[in-house]
Amino acid sequence: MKTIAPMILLSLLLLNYGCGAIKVSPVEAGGTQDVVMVEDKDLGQVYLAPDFNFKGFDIILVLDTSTSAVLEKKEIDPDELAIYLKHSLMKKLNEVGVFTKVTDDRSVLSPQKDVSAKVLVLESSFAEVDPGSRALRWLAGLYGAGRTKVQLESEIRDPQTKQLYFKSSNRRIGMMGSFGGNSKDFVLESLDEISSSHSTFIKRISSGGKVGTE
Amino acid sequence: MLKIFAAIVFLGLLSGCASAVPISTPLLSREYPEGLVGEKKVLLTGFQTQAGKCFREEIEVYLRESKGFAVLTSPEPLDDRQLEKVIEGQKVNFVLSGDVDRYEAGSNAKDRNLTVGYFTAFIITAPIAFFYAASTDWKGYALASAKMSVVDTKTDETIWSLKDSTSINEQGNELVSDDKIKKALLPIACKNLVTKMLNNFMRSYATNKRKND
Repeated sequence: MKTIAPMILLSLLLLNYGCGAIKVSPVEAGGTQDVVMVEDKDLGQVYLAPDFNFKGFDIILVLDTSTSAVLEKKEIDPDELAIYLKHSLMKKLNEVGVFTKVTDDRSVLSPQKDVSAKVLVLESSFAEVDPGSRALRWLAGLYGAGRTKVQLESEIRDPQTKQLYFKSSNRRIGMMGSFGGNSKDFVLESLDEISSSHSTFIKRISSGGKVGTE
Repeated sequence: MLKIFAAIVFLGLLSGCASAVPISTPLLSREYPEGLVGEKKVLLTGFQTQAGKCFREEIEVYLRESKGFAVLTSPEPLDDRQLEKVIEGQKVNFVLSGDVDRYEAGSNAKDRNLTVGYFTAFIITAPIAFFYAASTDWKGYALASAKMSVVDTKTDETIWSLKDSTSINEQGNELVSDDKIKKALLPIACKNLVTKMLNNFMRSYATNKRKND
């Protein structure tokens, strides 16, 4: 029994260590001179317009995620991920309750609709989706081999003026799971975590929080 | 001690795999506009693939329960001549057509069950299987996307068209099979997408009706 206990512990560590998606710094976050992006504890790199806090807006329209920068690979269909992400974002944004309505129905922008309702538009695009290699993760995942990578760029704008209120660059990697961990599961988990971090950030800022790592 | 662990995990695998998949995603509610009177006849075409079967059935149920539409369906796809014949013969008001673009589900259950099974196979590693099963959840998803359009037979104009999608996620700690998760989640995605799309049609229909009245 004495030798079994450490073995079990070690195996559990190996099985569960690094499971799930890990937040890392985004690669080439697209800031400019006017749009200065800073590190944030929920999202990777963030720009938030001065004095903007998501308050006073009733509706957020979540548009389809652009997949133009991502090539289809075995196990990964970018269009499938785009549908998954859009609905995951909508679900998480609904849960935090900052907006009266979270929708993907573009008719909220129609001039016939209630003009007093203030709308924000959330647009996103995949900068990278890489399923990595399960075999490599199993063999040397601890050292970074075969990791899955997902990077999402997102923006929130005013639909009329096109003014940029928010921009973020969010990156997640999947390193280890049981027998290397399934690539698609890692990618979907990354998308769930990216959605959660968006909603947590929006909730935090609308409750008076500040952008930053503290 | 180890034998007990192994027995617990083995029984868990057996009983878990036999249980139903608990679903927390609610079905969307149908939003029928007020004052839908006088049954309009709708001919439902398209959705002829295997994936389309659920959609066809759901559309029929949705429209029938609206009390404003009677639904005609054809078991076989109709060519233009047959379609015209049905429209004239049955005095059809609208033709609703469409197709399923995507209808799929996935889960991590295969991996999870394989890992649990692997460690259960050896008595010495059975506790790992037990802890692994207890500390990791199964996660499943289903997504669907479809397009639909409605043509007014009187004017031969498309009065409404929409391409839309939905996706649902579930997770739990039971030991259930990947197949069971997919079978449980897919119909929810189908029902919710049909309801979402036809609610949009009903809003559009009610708005146009008010304008024309």
